[in-house]
Amino acid sequence: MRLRPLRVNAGITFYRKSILDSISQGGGQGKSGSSLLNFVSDQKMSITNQRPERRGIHLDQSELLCKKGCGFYGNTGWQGLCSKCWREENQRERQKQIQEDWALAERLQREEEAAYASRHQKPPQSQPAITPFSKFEERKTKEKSSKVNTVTKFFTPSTKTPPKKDNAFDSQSTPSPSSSSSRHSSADTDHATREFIDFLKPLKSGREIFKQCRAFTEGIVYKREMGADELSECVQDFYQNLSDRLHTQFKGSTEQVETVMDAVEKYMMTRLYKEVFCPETTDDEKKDLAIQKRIRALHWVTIEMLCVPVDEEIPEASDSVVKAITDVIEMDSKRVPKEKLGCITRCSKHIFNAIKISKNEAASADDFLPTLIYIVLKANPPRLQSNIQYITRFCNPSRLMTGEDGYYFTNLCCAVAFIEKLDGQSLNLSAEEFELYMSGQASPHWTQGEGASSSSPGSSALSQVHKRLDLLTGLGERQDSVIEKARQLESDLIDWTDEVEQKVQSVLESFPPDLPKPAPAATSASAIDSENVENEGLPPPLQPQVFAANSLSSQFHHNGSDAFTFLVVYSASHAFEKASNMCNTTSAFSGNSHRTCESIHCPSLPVEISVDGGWAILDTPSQAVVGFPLYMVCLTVQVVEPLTQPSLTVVDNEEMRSLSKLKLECVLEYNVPDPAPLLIYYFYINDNQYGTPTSDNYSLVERLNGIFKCQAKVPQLGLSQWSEPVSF
Amino acid sequence: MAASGAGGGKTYSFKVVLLGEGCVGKTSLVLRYCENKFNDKHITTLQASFLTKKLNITGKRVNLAIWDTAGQERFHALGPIYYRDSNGAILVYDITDEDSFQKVKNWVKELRKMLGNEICLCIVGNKIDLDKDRHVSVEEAESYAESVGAKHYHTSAKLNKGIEELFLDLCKRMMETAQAEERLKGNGASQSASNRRGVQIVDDEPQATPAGGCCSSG
Repeated sequence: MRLRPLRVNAGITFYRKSILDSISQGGGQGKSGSSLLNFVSDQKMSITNQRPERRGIHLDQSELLCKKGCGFYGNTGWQGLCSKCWREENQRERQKQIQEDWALAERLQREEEAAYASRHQKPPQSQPAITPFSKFEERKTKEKSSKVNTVTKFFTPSTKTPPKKDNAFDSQSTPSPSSSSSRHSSADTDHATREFIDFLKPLKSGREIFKQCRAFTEGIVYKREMGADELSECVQDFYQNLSDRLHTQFKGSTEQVETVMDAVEKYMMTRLYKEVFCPETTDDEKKDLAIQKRIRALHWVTIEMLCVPVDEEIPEASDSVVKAITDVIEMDSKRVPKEKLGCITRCSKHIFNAIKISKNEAASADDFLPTLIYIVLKANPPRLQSNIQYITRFCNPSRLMTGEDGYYFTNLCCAVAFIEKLDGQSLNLSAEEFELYMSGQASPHWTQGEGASSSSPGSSALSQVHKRLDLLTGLGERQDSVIEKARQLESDLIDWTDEVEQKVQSVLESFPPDLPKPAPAATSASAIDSENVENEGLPPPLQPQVFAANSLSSQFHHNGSDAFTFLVVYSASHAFEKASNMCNTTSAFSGNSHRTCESIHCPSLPVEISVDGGWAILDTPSQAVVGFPLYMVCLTVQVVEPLTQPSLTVVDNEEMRSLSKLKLECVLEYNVPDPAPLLIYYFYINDNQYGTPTSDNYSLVERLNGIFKCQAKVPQLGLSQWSEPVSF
Repeated sequence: MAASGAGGGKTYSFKVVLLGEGCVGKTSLVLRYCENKFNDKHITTLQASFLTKKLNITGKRVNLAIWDTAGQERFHALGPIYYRDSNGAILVYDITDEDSFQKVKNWVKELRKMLGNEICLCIVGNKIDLDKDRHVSVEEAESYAESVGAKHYHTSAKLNKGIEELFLDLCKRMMETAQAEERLKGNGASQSASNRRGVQIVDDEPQATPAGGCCSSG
């Protein structure tokens, strides 16, 4: 009996390390999801663990007690002291202040005397010692000399006093290191105090004014919990009282009182700025953000819509517009209400200038307000509402109500109110247009772009369009080059597959399939991609299998996200069958007469192929997949012919001769798993059927001479084999 | 707002708003009054929206601050921000334009509602140089003014007619109102008739203010 290994099946199986992981976790997101779950449950654990120990806010007993350690409870409002200790402490500070005030009073007295003594000396501008205070002096000289009547006006008298005075300032500006200096340690406030003292020095009632202002300012600092309106009320009452007293007690003229009140405001608000600007007790900050957002959303509003009488094509006019924008933005950087108002006034003046240049006539309110609105929209000044509120609350009221500054400020308030309430109607737009512009679905610049191309907003829009066009062109070029490279890659790929095919062919030719390959699995398994060998975590390689006439079945797992190609080379005479879950076959091509190759892109989960005999060679992906080593195993699969060619033996022995019979015996291998279909033997003599067909592999026939043949047939499987002829 | 001055002589400060539709001549009116110019290319002032004038009326000094307002319809809602705390309002209409008179009526209604009788109202029919095109009758205008407690004036900024009288008259009336208010308070010592936010604080105690520092410490 001859055993003929008919075909050698070579299978290459590859696994990806990540595949099974990703399958088991249901994709990449599963990982983070489950880790989050872990985190949550961890948190739960820790919370439940803590629960028995502490609940709610935990305060140490020691934190509640008076800082002085007197054993009573303290209060955060009193800086952690108890009421008694706080009073003591505070008393001490006030005592200190009173002493300092006395010192100031004495000093002022002395200076006054000295001034009288040196009255006919030169004015102080020439003295180098007072240069730091030149600002004040400047203001002083600007004021008309009319005030000399009532207020004793004198300048820093002699060259000897300045150093002394400086010492005095230091003690003044930081009167009580424990309370004030900690809060007002910034250079700004010190400077303001110094300037204020300097300003008051020539005034007869300077000491009194300073004392009151400082006491009031420090009082305010402790009233933090007070609402903004109450604070404003307080400050305004103080202004009112002080100016009344300046009028009545100190007999100041209106101008003098104004000057003093300005200085008072400057000193107080510089010191209080941090406490009272945009305080937490109000929703100023929210309003700031709201108006900022609103202005941003209105970016599309054009000069034409607002009917602004400014021609921005005139360089001087557009220059003034820029200056106005700068000024209104600068407002936020000032601390004193008056200085903030100054910024608004400067802004307004620039606006008037722009209108005058454009229209060649004095601007009326009809021109001014729209332009101011336009400027505010362009500038989007920081903390606009906070600034307006701050000025309203803490500015000297007389300035705000009747003065020029007040007028411009009122206009700014109007502009803000207008912007807040702005709708399509107020811009001569339909409600639909307005909505479109607000939602950003349309822009007036697009439709009016050509008409307004010469004006600066139009041309800037146009240049933006050009920029974008350039960008698009660049992108187009890059896309072309990418496509070009992709084509290159594709042709490389095809070349490469051809190459592989040729190699396979040559291998097949050099190792004819008839060669027995009883190599054990361990040696036949070789890593093709040796660089990427990484055994850990990989599923065990496919074991060599012997297939008995059935199909070769193999399963592959690969990541769905990366498509890869493999080749299946199989005998043309056998059926190649894809399992149902195998996906698209992109290209099929046939090699030479006995092989067919198919290239398959398989972006799927387990893939099954069936090869009915032949060779199945699964190819690697064309490009190395970084980070995911491929493990390839060459498998030798022995497939046995289901029905081997029978060999016929004519048995002629003593027994047969005595019976004058012949025994025809047919030997073959029938390799079909049980239950095997019926195998029928036919015997022939000289090509004629001889005897009855039988399921036994022998037949007793009459002794005749001739050429015998036998045929084995499995009708159910369509198998049929003829034996070689045997002559007798 | 009225403020006291030094010595016996008082200085009054008044805020006057100019209201009216666009193109009725608000700006011309005020420019004529403050600069004595009409349609002049050589107007020295950069702007005509906020102007001040110093007057001396019966020995009292008056500082007049004239606030122009934007007359366009879309800014109408902003009126209250402008006329808040003003002592007087000049409501201008164009005698050739019936609509502008109608606007004035709306303003009057609003002002009386918001500010009551504290504000002195002047209704001004401008452009009387165009009398042949008059569309608002003198009788109608004057009787309306009387019915709402306002004074009516006929002016021409072009011919400089009736403007000086208008402002002088208004100032006198505002002074009377201010004086009446002072008398009403009945306190000679409190010279500052502050109407700031309607809060009046009479404080003769000089040390009361620094007490703020003690409040929280007590």
